[in-house]
Amino acid sequence: MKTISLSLLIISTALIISFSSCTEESCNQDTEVFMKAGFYSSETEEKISIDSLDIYGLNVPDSIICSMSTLNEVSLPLNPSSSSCTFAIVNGGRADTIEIFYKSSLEFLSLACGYRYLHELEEIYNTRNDIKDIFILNKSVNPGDEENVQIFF
Amino acid sequence: MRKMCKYFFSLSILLMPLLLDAQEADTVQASKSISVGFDLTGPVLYALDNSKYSLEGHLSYRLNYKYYLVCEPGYSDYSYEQYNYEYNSRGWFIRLGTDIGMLAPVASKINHYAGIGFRYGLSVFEQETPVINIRNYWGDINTSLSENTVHAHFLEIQGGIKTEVFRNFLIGWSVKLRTLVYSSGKDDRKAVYIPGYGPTGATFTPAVSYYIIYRFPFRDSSGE
Repeated sequence: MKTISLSLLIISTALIISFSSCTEESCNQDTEVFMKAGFYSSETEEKISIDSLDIYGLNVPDSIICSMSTLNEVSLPLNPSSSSCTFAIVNGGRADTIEIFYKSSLEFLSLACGYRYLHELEEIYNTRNDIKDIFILNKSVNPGDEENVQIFF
Repeated sequence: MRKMCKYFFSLSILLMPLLLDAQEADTVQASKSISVGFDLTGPVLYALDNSKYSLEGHLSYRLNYKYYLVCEPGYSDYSYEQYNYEYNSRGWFIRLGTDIGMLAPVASKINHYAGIGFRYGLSVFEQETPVINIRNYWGDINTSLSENTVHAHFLEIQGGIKTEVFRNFLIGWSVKLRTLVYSSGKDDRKAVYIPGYGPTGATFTPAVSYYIIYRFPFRDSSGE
């Protein structure tokens, strides 16, 4: 029994040390979510690609999200410290702005990742130079692939 | 988890000689007793990493050679810090349950224990996140979550051994696996670390305890 006790003492000490040194983990989750906007034709209601597209946030220095790109959808980062934010969408020289209103809430992810913000869309307003209309499809801005907004040109 | 399985396997091999000897003829009656002890793991881990402080007692009442009623109260103070947030939780916990001994009731083993245990755990604690830093396209966001009270319920299964090294003085350890049943903290208030349970990231949370115990046998019991 004394031999067993000694073995147990050694094993348990090893266990304690191994447990204390194995608590670190790395973050492999998305720590930021984006509002996903798809581009559609107002005539055919089909998804279309827009050429020479510039997108940037208003009042953000060096804020180009995409420049001279051809895209049929874009992922836009919302501002968690405000209840609204505005993006400029420039299509071949014709500029529009979209102003998005939403509520933000924190979510705890994991010990390694910490917290991230999720958003719930409320309203979107836009100018109508090139954009014809905008519809909210899915109010929850979360890590999924589902489109949140349809933008009709 | 694979490592844990290895440990369990090694430990079961270690226990085999004790369990296989169960056919001895000198069966004795186990005295009822109360055992009082504490878990040395908390202070040892605190010495290695002072972000976790945990003190845990161990009280058990031996009904007979096989069954024990167990109460494990404790207090824990935990803090975690990394580049994008800081988190603190502190509070009390209690685990209640039973230990089931698997040693034969023979004279050579009656004062030792090897077996499995089941626990229900309750933890009531305060948690806060004083610093959250999130950097995104719009700049840096600095925020915090104020202190709130959370209660959590969990279940535990464990296997362990306790050996009498001197008369009525035991040392031993147990390897534990816990699962969270309910926590009142949701979304941004989700508990990161529950006192008496551990981190909440996985479905099952492993733990180890190393006990130092003193046994008070009842005088009117026989068989010691």
